Formats: sequence, structure tokens, C-alpha cells
Amino acid sequence: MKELKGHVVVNGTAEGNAIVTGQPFGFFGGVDPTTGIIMDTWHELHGENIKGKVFVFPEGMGSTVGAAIILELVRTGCAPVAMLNNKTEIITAAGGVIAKKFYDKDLPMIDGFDCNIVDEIKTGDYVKILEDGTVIITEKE
Amino acid sequence: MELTSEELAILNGDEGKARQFAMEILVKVGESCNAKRLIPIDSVHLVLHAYKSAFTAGVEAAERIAEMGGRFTVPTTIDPCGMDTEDWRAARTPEDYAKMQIRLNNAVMKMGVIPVWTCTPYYGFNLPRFGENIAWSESSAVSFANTVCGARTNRQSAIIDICMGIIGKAPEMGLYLDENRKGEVLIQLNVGRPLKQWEYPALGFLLGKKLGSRIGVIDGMKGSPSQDNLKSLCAAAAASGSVALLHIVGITPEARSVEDAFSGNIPEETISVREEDLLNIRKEMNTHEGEEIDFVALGCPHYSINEMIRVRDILNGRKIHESVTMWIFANSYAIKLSEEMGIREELEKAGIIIRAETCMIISPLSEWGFKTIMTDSGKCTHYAPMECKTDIVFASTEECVESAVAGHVVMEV
Repeated sequence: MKELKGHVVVNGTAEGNAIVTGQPFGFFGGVDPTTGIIMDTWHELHGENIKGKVFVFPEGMGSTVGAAIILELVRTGCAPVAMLNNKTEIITAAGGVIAKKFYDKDLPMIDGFDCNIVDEIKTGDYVKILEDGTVIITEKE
Repeated sequence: MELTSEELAILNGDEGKARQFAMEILVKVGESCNAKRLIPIDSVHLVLHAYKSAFTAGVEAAERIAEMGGRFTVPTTIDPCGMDTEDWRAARTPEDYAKMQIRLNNAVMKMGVIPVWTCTPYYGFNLPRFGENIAWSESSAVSFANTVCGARTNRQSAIIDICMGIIGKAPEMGLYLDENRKGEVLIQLNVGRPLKQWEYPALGFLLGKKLGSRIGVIDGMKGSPSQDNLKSLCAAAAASGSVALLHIVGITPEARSVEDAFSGNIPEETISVREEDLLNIRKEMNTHEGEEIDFVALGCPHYSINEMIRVRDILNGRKIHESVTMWIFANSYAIKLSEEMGIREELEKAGIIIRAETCMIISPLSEWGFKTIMTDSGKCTHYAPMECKTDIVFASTEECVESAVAGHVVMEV
């Protein structure tokens, strides 16, 4: 078990199994918001599902409409429970901020760790996110 | 974040519910991203534009902000519509989809959007100047505005952009600040001649993959690239990566020299791009092996009048093959000009359909069951496999037109 501390982009608490990628991720064209399945055929996570997971990716990319896709993921109940990045750009952060406003759902987002977050967590690890940006990682057995 | 007394009054609800809501969102987002204050912006370009990418959540969000009384206080333009604005039924738009699109259109119109539905607002009626602070979404337009115009915008976000249009301000962060506009990676373009037309989007596609969100400085661009060339380069780099600013030495207003572009930064990486690298990325951009194609799609980003003229000239009176469907996507400005010049009639006589103010990526194209798209767009190449559910063939404009005439893929390289 290890503990990391990051900068709170969108606050809230969450826990779940991690899904991790070293590649940047764009939500439009990246994920089907009615299922949570990754549809980007250029992406290494193609075919995986982010629903209910702690989604770990280095930074956002691609279309600026991504926040609307995140909002639809929240509306359909197919969103990840939290997102951890090295750098959360405004497009991703916006999805979390608006989800709270419109659907009163927490979608915590943490960035700015003093390490490369995608190297610290492996897919399948159990991750707990606290209100203050603390991330507790229990390695998959 | 430090707020002025005017901003605090808005936050307090003194100027109504919509402005209060918009200010709350801007403050929240600004604080999330460590912005110190809000700064005035001169124009906004929205991406909450198509039901296909807004979904129900996006439509409901726009309606709720419009109902609160949200009104834009700075010139606000918008991305392409989610369906053909001249004849959505002929474009096989499902009735349920059209209903949601019309709800979205009504909501943004109520807030006062300038209704030229396009990803290229800089072609005519929303052209930012050097050093001007603007707040645009639409990744390709952001990249063009920073790189070609020397204006300043971050890659803003859907819905947040509506709030920026209502308040006329944006959180001061990222590319609004001098220190964040410095070059980070040196790209040595070792081609030794002006790039061919297809090489611009191919270079963009390659740089998007290599740079991610880092700022590249391109040294060695020869000749005089057209606005259309630069548009296709910027769009591809913003789709395959998240490039918001490229310093093209000699072209980008802030990059008169390599030293200018780096402003004291040491390049963290140097990437050499040779002719064979462009040929290799071109191969990667084709997901289709055979020679058969059923759809040729041009206009991502929207075609300019000059590009429409070029297609007419390449066709030179020939008709496209009966087995191929060919569409050109353009905004109402370019379409109007093409009508006055007789170009639209010539293109339609050749069998090409002009699709108004929408595009292949954000309209329900899968209704047509096309198997393979051929395009000259690096941006479309990135999105088509997911959003159109097709294979993709990337080629030059000339090869796209020749293939449409022949009825099968015709490549020069």
C-alpha cells in the first residue's frame, strides 16, 4: 500500500479499481458515453470500460467538446468514479465542475503529483481518493 | 482567485441568475486550474454545437443556461451544426436526432450566438488579431488562432465557453501568459522544398502524436503556405494530439526567428522530420488495404471558397463515378460565394453534393452505411474510424478527386 498527494482539481471522495494508460486521452471519439467503453481505435485501451473505475491517464487531448461527453457519462451513470492525471486540462476539469452543478454528482479529479502518476498505479490496483487530494493505492494481488 | 467588486456583485446574483451561474462556473474552473484572476476576452467560439457530440446532457445544459436568461456579451460564434442546415432530411438525419439538434440550436440562438455554423470562423467574420485575448473552443480553430493569427486562447471547453460568452471573461492561465507561450520542442523540417498540399495535414498528424500538448517550434518551412495549408496542419495536430500553439518560424507572428520562439527556453527535445517521415505517417493514416472506396469527403475543417474552386479546376468538366458518393462540407459564407460564382452548380453537375454547415464527424453519417472514407483531412483521418465507423484513406485533394472520378483509389505515392 502506498500514499500519494496531489492537487485537487475537482473535490470529492471515491474508490475503485484503477484503469491506467500512458497515452493521453480525448473523450470525444474516445469513449461511448452510453456504455463507458473506449471506442478510440488509435488508443491502447480500445475496447476497455472506464465505468465505475478510477481512470488514470497523463493528460487530455483532442476535441474541446470532451466536457459534454463527461457530462453525458455522468448522466447515464457510465462515468469513472474519479480521474487522476499529471495535468488535468480545462476540458476535463470542466466535465467534473459541471457534473456537480447539473447532476449533483461528485467526480473527483486530482493532478500535479510529484511523480508520474501513470507509473505509480497499475490497472487493477485498488485506489481510494480522499477529499484533500490524498490517493491511497493498494496493489493488485 | 482575486475578484473585482464587479465580479463579486455578479457572483452575489446582482445581475441575475444566468450571470451568477456563469461566474460561479468560471471561478470554480479558474480555481481548479490555479488561475489568479479573470481577464476580458474579445470573442468566444463555442463547441456545444451538434447533438452527436453534445448528447442529451449537453442539450439540457444549454437549455437550462438559456432559460436562466443567459445572453452573450461578446461576439460569440459556433462550430458546425450536427446536421445539414439546408436539408437535413435529404442527409438522412433521423427525426429524433433532428429534434434534439433543433432544441440545441434554439437554446444557443436564444443566448445570441452568431449563426454561421462553422469550425473556421476566422474565414470572414471572427478574425482575431495579433496579441488579442479570445476564448475559443474547437481545437482546430484554437490552434489556427494562436499559430497563424498570433491571438491568445487556451483550448477552452464546451459549456465553459458559454459561461465565458455570458461574462466576457476567462480565467487567466495557460496561453494567455507570455511565459507559457515559449517553445518547448524544436522541429527541424528537413524537406528542403515547399511542402506538397497533403504533407501539411500529414505533418500535423505526426506532430500531434509527437508533441501531445507541448509547444513545437517548426524551423525550415519553405515557400509561402496558404491559409488553407496552415488550417489543415493545425487541425490535424490538434486532433491527433492537443496542440494549441505551434511556432512556425517566419509565419507565426511571435516567431520571427527560432530564438524568438523559444524566448530563452532550452529545447527539451529536437525532432527531425524528413520527406520519408511524412510518407511513413501517411501509410499509418490509411486503415484501408484495398482499392475500393464508396465515399469521398472533403471539408474538415470547412472548405474555403479557394478549396472549392480548386476541386472544380481538378475536375475540369469530368463527372464523378456512379459508384462513389462525394460530399464537400463548407459554411454558408463559402457556399454563398460558390453560388454567385457558378461553382456550386458546376460541382453539383459533376455529381458532388454540397453539405451546408455540418461535417462528416459531427453529423449522423453512419446512417449511410459507408464502408471507406477517402479524405484530404488529417483531422477527419483521426476521428472517422470512431465517429463514422468506417475505414479511412488519407490522400491529397487531387488524389481524392481523381479517385472519385475513377471509382477506385488512385494514388500518386
